[in-house]
Amino acid sequence: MNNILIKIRLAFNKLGFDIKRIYNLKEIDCDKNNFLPERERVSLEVYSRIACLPISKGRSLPIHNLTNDGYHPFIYASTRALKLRSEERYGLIKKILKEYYDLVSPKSAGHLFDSPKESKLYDYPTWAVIMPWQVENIDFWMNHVRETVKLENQIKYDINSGWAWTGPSDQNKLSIETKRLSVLLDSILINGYKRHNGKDGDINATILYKDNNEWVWQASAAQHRACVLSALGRDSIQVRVTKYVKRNEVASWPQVINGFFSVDEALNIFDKIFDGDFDEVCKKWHEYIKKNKL
Amino acid sequence: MIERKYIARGEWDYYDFLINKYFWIKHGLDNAIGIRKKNLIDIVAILEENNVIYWLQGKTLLGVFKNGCLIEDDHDDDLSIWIGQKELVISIFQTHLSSIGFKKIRENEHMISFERDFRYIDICFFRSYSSKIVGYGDKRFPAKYFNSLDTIKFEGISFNIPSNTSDLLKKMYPEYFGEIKIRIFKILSKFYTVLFSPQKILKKVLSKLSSIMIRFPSFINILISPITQLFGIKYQELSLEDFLNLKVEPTDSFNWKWRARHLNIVTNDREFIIVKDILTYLSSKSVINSIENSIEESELIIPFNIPSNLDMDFWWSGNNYFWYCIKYKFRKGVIPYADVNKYLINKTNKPIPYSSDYYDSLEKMNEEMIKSFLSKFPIEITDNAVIGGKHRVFAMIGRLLDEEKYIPFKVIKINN
Repeated sequence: MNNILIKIRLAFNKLGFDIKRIYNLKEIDCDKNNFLPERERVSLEVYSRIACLPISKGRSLPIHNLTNDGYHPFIYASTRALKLRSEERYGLIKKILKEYYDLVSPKSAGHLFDSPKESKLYDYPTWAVIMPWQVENIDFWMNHVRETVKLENQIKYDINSGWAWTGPSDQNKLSIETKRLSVLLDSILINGYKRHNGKDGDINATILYKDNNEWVWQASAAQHRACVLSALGRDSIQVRVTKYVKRNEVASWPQVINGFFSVDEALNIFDKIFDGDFDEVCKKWHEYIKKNKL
Repeated sequence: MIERKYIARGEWDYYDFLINKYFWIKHGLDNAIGIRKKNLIDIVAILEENNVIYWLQGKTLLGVFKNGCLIEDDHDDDLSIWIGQKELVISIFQTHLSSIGFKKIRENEHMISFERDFRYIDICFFRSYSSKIVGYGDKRFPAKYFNSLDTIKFEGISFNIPSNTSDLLKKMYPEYFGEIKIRIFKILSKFYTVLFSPQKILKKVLSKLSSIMIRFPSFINILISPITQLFGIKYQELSLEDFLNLKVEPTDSFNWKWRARHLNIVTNDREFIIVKDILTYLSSKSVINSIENSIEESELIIPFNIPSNLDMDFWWSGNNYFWYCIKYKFRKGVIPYADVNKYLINKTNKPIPYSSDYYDSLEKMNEEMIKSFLSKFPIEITDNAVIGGKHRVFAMIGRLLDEEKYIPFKVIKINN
């Protein structure tokens, strides 16, 4: 097999090309002003790239920041749980997540982003929220979320039991999320974070790029890991950049082209995520945290 | 605070740790206790402030738990954290620890070490090796002691310690608890490891081969050289041309830091490190005059109670050692560094070792003597740089400067 690969490589070399394993590509240098040269940005359409990105610029999907002094319920719970003995952590995490699910329970996906009245998102449940730059259509996406959540819930419970990122949630989903988070917290604490190039080996990230070289990144997969790493005090995390979204290209975003979002609505979602502004939907949760310094 | 002449820059070398150890043996281990306590208290306060799960480790744990104090002859203090918070500790160093005077002196996959006031603390990175075993480096412990932590009061402050520490310490340090059976078992298991690891033994023998060859008579080295060459060690004569192209010290050698004062003066602060360049540099009378004016003779007056080679005063109280080799060339009966203590103990009205009076008191070696001396004591070379026999090399430089004949060295050449 190796000989065949060597021959193929030599044949390509003769034509002036070089073949490299994708994971041997250089990491993206996020210190560069432009974050990613246009030429490399195009390459993300074909293969993803690894980058070490600052937590301070991290955003969760769909809402919250990834900083460990913020209001992300998973980070908030993990950070506080670390102060306790390991056998006491589960109880505290459960208590905090329950409060969060009770206090942050938007009626629809439209309420989640405080969208304009005419938004189609009001017709869909919170868990169906789709980003304007996603390529999947809403029906496909809803099916995908249903299937993923069922897997997360060990096939026993479906999406009606709840969704990880906002309430409402029943006891079953609350227990599953609590266990997931506490086991992951213990595991990364004592084993370290070990990413790999295989399936599900990385935290996937979408870069959201504004004008004037401002950018943030949004975790699109393995968010629990991102939360735990933030709680453990990381300044930066190695992630796999899979998408690069530019604000000034809003007109070409798939959900804008297919008419699911208007341009203004799409920009509103981009800006809310970019600025980490979720005060409206998280108002009660923020008040709870301020009142109950756990 | 005890004044130090040598300050290590950046991360510490293996020898820096030895120097540190012997420095405190010389200047009183009891004088370090106050510094150690303060370092420990300050680091732990910052770890707690930043939500890092830590616990006392090793002999620091032993001392605090068993005797309520730090063990005096412990050369470092130990803390442990979980590997998942390694990056956090590194970032805490940049944001907090460096601002209160700590320097990072070591960082590897097993631990990070911070030094302040010439005392250091190791923070070991614990990880899980199975559901029941945790540890760091090549040390393993039952996980049950670290799943939950207890606390202990020391100096009025609460420190985290493993749960059931008393039981854990008996396993870690049976000798401190009179558990002779476990001690014997430990010795036997070490013996077993050596006996059944022939590769380890071979590796060790090979690493010592060159130092063994130095002691052999010339004819034996000539005989065994074809075999030793298979292991990358060659015995040969060094031609004048090869001698002129030799580096007096490997470029990455610790000696550039530790023996800096003595080496810098003859290499113009490392500008000239190849023999022929040093010869050119020293061929100017003004250079010689300037060196002579800046020479300070080392104050070797009282015996050292530690290996003299690792004593700060031995290397940092003067800068004359290599220059005087050049100046006085080959003399009869120069005492090796290892025997300087004997000389100092028995010294009655004898000159200070390696001073100008000392060399003046020694008889000059003639060509025949030098030839026989060099044949008996080969120098060691690796990557075209001298790693053993530097004083002889400088003495030969002295001869060439005085337009005397080059007398070939016998060398043991080690290929890395």
